[in-house]
Amino acid sequence: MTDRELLHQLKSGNEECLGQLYQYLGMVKSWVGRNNGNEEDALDVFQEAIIVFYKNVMSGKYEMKSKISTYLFEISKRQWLNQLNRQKRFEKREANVMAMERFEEKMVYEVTQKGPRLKDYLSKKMAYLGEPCQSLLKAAIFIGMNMEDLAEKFNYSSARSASQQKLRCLKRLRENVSYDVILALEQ
Amino acid sequence: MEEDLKNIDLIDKYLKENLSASEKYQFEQLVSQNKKFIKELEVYKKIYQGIAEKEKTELKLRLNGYYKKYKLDQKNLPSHNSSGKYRKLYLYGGAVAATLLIGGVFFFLNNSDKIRTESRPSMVDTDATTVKKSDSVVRSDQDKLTSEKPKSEPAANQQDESVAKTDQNNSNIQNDSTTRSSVDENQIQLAFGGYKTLPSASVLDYTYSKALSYTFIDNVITLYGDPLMGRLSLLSLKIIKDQGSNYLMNFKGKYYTVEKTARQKPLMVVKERSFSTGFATSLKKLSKLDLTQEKVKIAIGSIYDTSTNLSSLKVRFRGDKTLENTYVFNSDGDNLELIINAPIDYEKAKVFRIKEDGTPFYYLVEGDNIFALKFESQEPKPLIPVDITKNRLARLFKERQSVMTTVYKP
Repeated sequence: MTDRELLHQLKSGNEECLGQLYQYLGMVKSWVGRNNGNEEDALDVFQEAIIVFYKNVMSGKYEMKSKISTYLFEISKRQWLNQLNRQKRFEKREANVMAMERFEEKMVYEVTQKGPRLKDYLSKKMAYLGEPCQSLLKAAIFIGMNMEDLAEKFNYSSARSASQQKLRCLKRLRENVSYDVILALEQ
Repeated sequence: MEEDLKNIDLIDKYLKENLSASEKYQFEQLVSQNKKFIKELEVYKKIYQGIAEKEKTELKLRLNGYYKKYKLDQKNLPSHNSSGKYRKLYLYGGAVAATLLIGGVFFFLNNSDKIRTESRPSMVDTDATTVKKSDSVVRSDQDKLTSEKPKSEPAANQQDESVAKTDQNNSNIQNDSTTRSSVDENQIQLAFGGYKTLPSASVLDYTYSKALSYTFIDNVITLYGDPLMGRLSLLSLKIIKDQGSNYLMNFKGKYYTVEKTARQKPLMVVKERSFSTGFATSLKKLSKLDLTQEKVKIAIGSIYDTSTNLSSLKVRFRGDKTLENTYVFNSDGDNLELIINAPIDYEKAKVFRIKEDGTPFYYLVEGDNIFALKFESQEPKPLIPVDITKNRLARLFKERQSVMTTVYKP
C-alpha cells in the first residue's frame, strides 16, 4: 500500500490498515535499542507515534511533507528522548528523597490504582449515551476532527448542525455525570 | 442557541484553545462572575480528559490487534524465515527463477505448437485468434452455460425463500404474494448495505405464564412454565399411579392429575377431599408408597419448542467493529425493527419476545450469551449480557436436563 492509498483508506474509515504501519517498527526498534531502550520501549513509543499520526491525519493536521515512515520515526525518536529525560529527572529527584517517603509514595500510588478510574467512569457514561453521540464525541474530542469533516462523516447538513449535535451530546453526557464523583476520580 | 448550549460551546472552545477574541471576553466574564460556570468548567475538563483517555486506551488495544494480525500476515508470506536484505534477495531470486520457468514453458509450448500446425498448414488461417460462431466447441459451451443458469438460480435462492415458504404454509397466502414479499425483503437488504437480516424463523414469540402446563406422551411428561423451577424440585417430584391407571403428580406438597395428552394442558391441583378414601389415606404417607417397574421421564419444555414465529419484528445485524456493541429499536407504526451492532453469529442468534401479563420483554440469545433488550427507548443502547441470577425471564433460555423417575403405587 502506498502512502497515498493508506491515507485515503484511513480517511474513509478503515482504521485497521494502521496495522500496515508496523512494517516501519524495525527501524524504531534498532534506534531505541542503541539508545538505552529495549524492544518493549520501542513498541510503546511506536504505538504512541501511530496514535499521533492517526489523530493528525483524521483531524486534517497531517501534511504529506515527508514519507509516513520518516514521520513515524521522527515522532518515535522524540517520544523516546522525552521519556529518557523524564526518567533522568525522576532519578535525580529520587536520589534526594528519603527512603521512607518513597515507600509512602508507592503506597498512595497503589491505592489510587485500585479505585475507580476516570476513563472507566466515562466509558460507562458514554455507553449509556449510545450512538451516534458516542462516536461523535470520540471523533470530536479524542481525534479532534473538525466540524466540516464531522458533518460529512455523520451525515449532518452542515458544520453548524454537526456542532449543535455535538453540544447536545455533551450536555446529555454532563447530565449523567455527578460533579462530586467525577472530580474525585484519578486519571 | 440555548443558553446552556452556548456555555458548553464556550467551554468546548476553551478546552480546545479555540476561543475568538470576543468569546474569550465572554468566557472570562463568566469565570469571574459565575461560580456555577466554574464548576461546569471543571466537570467538562474531567469529561474531556476521561474521553481522551478512554479512547486512547481502546485504540491501543485495537492497535495491538492490528499488530498481531500484521505479524501473522507476515508469517504467512512464503519467505518469512529470511529477513531484511536477504529476504529481498530471495524474492528477486524467486522472481528470476519463475520467469525462467515460465519462459521455458512458453518456449516449449510455442515450439511444439509450431511443429503441430506446420504439419497441417491448412488449419493456420482459422486459428484461435478469432473465435467464430461456427466454432463448435465454443457454442456447445455457451449452450451449456445458458441451460444451466435457470437451474442454478433457484437453488441459490432456495434458502432465502424457504422461510417465506413456511410462512406460506402457515397462513395460506397466495403464491404470488409470497414471492413478492420475498422480493421486497431482498430490496430492503440492498438498501441497508452491510446489514444482515435475521431469518424470520429465528425471531420468536413466547408467552410466559407462571402456571404450569404439561404434555404426557408415551412415558415422557414435559412441563412448561415456571423458569424458577430448579432441578432440585424436579427431583423431589413424584408420580403415582393408582389401580385405575390414573396418574397423579406430587410436586411441592400439592397433587396434580396428569393424563396422557399430546396437547399442552394446564396442571390442575387436586383437592385431597375428592380422592377416593383408600387412595387418600395411603397418599398421606408418601414414604410408604411402593415402587413399580414403570419409569417416567420428566422433562422441562424448552422455550425453543413452544414459541411461535414473530413476523412483526425485523432484526438486522451490523458488524461494525469500530463501534461499541449496541442495539436500537425503530418503529414505524405497525412494524418494529431491531438493529444490532455487534459481532454476533447471526446464524446462531435468536431474538425472543417474551410476554408476561401482556408486557413484552425482548431478548437476544446467541448460544450461552443472553442479552436483555430494553424496548422503551428508541435510542441506541449498549448490549450488555444479562445476569441470569438476577433476570428471571432469562432463565427460560437455559436448557434443562430431564429426570428419570420411577412411578409409585399406593
